[in-house]
Amino acid sequence: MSLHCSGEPVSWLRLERYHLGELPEQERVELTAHLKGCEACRASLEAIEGDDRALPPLPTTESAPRESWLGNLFGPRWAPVLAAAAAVLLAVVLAPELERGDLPPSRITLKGGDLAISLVRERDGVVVEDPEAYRPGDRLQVRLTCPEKREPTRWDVVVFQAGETLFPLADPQPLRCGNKVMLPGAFRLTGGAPAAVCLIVGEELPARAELGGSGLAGLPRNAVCALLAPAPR
Amino acid sequence: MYRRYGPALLRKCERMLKNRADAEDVVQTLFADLLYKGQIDEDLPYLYRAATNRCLNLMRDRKRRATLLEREEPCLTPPRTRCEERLLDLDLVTRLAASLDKKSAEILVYRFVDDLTQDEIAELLGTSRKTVGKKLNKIRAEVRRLAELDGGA
Repeated sequence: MSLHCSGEPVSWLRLERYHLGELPEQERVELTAHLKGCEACRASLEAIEGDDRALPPLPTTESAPRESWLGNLFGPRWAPVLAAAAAVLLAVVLAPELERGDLPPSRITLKGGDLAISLVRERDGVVVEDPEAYRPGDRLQVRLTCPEKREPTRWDVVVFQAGETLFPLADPQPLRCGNKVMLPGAFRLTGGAPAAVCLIVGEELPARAELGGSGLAGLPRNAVCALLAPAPR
Repeated sequence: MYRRYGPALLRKCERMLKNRADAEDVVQTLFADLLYKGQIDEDLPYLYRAATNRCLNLMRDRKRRATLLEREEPCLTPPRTRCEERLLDLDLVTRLAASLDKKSAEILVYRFVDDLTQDEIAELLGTSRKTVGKKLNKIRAEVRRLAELDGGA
């Protein structure tokens, strides 16, 4: 289908500004008159007005105003950009067992691109990207971002919580890098302590037993972490 | 700012990239960077231009270009045909946008994807209408050359 405008079609930018009520009065009046006689432009405006698709899913908040503010303003894609600062703050406030200096950021720069971790939380059928809080029973999955040019590499997920070191997923497996590659497997957290979910990537990973003994200090350089705080009751 | 202008920018990027997920990536990254720089009160024309350049960067990626047409999805917005440019095909425009110099590609998109007038483009870029017109003449010639090449294949 192709609609032919009778003259110069109104630009999408002008239609968007019209829709937002941001056009100067004279332009608004002129455009209103144009729309009455131009089927194509009218259809375009109707498409804008009828576009009720939601913005990309944003992190929701259980309590913390900080999470709500960040989530509503930025969205999940950039939460990793800011997560390092947020994680450090949360670590200090909520997780005395997670020392500020010991927790790697959620995104680091490697040769050829970034390495990043992001989480997906499912609770009662509701999926939230980049959550900052969890409740016991929440289903969690890990997404990996790493430079696509890298050869298939090995990865592992390790969780540090209340002095324990946990390996919730299957043994390390080769994986080709990409943008937000969903790692196979899901896990749930229990208890009420903050948890650092860390992703380590490399051809040679530290042995789980070894890492279990050393805790956060044993993380290699190619490690990124997301911090989950327990949601208040 | 995100709630107010996000939808318009998503529609704009979706027209360029023909893919909602990629459009979301571009828009969210854009707002993240703006926040990082403390730019939290920009107007729609500024954001429109910033989003255009980011979409063009994505289109310039060789791998991305190779998959651009394969991943084409139905566009939300209805097709429109500019009376004076009926012969131009959007696919040709998007392919060309990936190979033109930065400023020309930007003008190309504003004119043939966003339907901006030459005056609007000049205002957006802070340049003269005459300069925009000259660029467009060169772009049209290149688009037609590409169309003929495709037609002869």
